[in-house]
Amino acid sequence: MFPDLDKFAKDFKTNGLKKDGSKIKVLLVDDAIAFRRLVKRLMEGVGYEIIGEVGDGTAAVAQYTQLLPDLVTMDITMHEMSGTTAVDAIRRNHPDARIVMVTSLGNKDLVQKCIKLGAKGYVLKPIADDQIPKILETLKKAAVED
Amino acid sequence: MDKDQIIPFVNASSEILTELLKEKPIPGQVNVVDRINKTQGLLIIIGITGGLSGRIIIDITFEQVYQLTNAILREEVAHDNLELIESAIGELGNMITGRAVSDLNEMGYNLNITPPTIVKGKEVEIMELKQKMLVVPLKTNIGDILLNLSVQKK
Repeated sequence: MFPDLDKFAKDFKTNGLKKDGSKIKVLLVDDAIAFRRLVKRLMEGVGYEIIGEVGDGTAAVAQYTQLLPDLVTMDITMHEMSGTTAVDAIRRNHPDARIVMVTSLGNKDLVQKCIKLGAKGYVLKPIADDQIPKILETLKKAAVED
Repeated sequence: MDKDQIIPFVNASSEILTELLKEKPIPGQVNVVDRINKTQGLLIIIGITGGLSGRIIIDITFEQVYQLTNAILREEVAHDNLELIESAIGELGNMITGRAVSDLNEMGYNLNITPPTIVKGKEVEIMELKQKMLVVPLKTNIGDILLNLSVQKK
């Protein structure tokens, strides 16, 4: 299990709640159901509400328009449509979309490309214990900061 | 095969396995082979495209599959939950290859990876037609994990 998620759940900087106490609604995009399950458990453990999960970029674009989540976690390497293309497509129609890349690929050029496309944060897999506070902070910052 | 192109894969495997198994693997004796004709049970195959071409094949036992799945998911996964296990193991390949490719891209290669292919069975024969494969055993606290590497400049 994840270490001490309770303590993060109480901290506004890292929990999954908005200022008014309501849950931040999240769309998970990753072609690995195993990783979606892991991220879902991590995020729900601190208060986020997962309102949808899909396994490729094309479905992510469609689901975004339908669900209008507060935050999207987006993998990059996926069948059909990559995460970078999906970020571009979502942001073109929804310039205020808040997206965090959650990926195994971490070279500077790719990170910069995603930020340029409008991603608000970048999380590297795997989710190591000692990275959890930083990951939760990245997610929260992306979801609520102006 | 250039040493500088191989080391990132060994380092990435070592780092990811250390994060999952909480103990650093020790690289064993490296071998050069022209084919794999027996596996430990399951292969994760990921292709590398771009400035280099080739593939990484991770050869693990079924027992290691279960242990690594539990480590990735941080929960005890039922052995018959094949969809979840296959997904977790494919993700292991992605994490290792993704980290190695990220390091190589910092060195100026413009690489990408293909989604993982999983092959089950001990009696499997795989051969590289254009070059030999480097086999690097990583001694871990759940037994040896074999990395089969073949990369070359395009």
